[in-house]
Amino acid sequence: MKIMKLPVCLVFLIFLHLDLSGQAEAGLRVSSGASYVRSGDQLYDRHGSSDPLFSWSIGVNIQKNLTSKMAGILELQTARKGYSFQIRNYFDLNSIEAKRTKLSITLNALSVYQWTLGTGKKKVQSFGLQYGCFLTRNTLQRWKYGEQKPVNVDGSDKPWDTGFIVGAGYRNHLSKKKFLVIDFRYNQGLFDISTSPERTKSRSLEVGVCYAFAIKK
Amino acid sequence: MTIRIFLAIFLAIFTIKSLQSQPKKNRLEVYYTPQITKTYFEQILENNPGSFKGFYETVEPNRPLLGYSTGIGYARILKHLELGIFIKKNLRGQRSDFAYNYRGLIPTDTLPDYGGLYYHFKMKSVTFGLTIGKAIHLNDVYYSSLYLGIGLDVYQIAFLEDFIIKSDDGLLRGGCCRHEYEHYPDNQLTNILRHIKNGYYRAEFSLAWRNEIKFYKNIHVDIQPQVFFLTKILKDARGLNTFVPDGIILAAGLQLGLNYHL
Repeated sequence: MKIMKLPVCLVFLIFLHLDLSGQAEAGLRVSSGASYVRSGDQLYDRHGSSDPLFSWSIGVNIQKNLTSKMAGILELQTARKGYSFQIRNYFDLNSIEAKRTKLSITLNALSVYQWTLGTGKKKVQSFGLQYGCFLTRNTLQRWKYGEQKPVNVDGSDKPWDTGFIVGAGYRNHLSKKKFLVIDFRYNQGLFDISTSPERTKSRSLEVGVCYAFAIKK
Repeated sequence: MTIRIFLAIFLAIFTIKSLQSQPKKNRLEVYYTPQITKTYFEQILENNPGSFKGFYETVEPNRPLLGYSTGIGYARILKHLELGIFIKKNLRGQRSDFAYNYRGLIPTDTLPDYGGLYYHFKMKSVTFGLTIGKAIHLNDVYYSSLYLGIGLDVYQIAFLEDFIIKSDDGLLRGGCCRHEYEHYPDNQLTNILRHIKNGYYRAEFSLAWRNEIKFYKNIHVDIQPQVFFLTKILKDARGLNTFVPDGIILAAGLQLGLNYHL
């Protein structure tokens, strides 16, 4: 758990910075994309990667404008991620589909640095760079290899994962108090999530849509 | 010869334009470019040594591989033109699909939890080059340009590695083998100079769309889609050593950069 201290502290520092007495927004965000892992052995420092798995997440967030250009986001989401393998089989047989899925609960803490792109009478568009960290608790992990019955593999991975997020988003004001954000994010796990000698680190790419509204002025 | 003429013309334009009395700015940049890469080294890969010959007969490495470039650069920004130099490290290669049947045979002599294998070929190189860009949009916050790059990509090291899927829990682990091509245990500079001397280099051409946004005072961030084409080894180096990978390389990536204007 030592490795978790830094991101957890960062999350709470950002959370404390979110002074909800000022202008804040609440939002609902859904995303989908692809997740995969990079894995290898420690002896020769070699890295391979799995095939991607279709992933999704749904969550709620609170955003607070810290300065005219900076905002902080705290987000709680549930997600389905993992990885897959499409394995070619004997020449006269179908390929083997193998996938390892995990359901998780994730806390994201993000900063957004944004630029206003243009203004209309009521509408404002902006472009923002997002960067931050995530803390994930896996709740269910399953492995299915070909036609075999899915098995629970909770024991072979560590329950927690943490890493960083970078991304970019486009934000449009639907009205004075309603906003729509379309973003693209890359999540990279920083630590080994496997309990076996093979190092395994998570990766994911996602496109998300967030509907947000002002909750205080 | 053609490459040398191109380089000479490029260098001449760079020098002339840099000396012209126009409003000038300088930019230092550091960047990382994740990219999809595909090398075409079948000629050497089909004659792989040891177990890799068997892997090649099982499944050919026809898939692209996720690679990267990371480097530093300097550019002189003129009124509507920018001229730059760069040095970067690259990792590019190709990989196979996952396959269960080893050479079409039942894998009885492998591990009990064997679930399939794949292998990849990776090549590391260093590129030195020049860039020329044309501004297409310019204001206080946003700067956009199209640019061309040309460089000399010097071979560093290449290797083959295989990986095995564990069928009982789905983990991917290192396999039996690793093979390195033309690699000496000297420092990097010595290796680069040796490979230049031996002719293990190719030409790199790139095309990019730079999108640069002011972040804070003189610090800018940039995002730029890029495509790369690398030629075969320019000299007939394969005649000297058949263990140097030869073939064209294609790549496409998204450069993420941090720039300092002075």
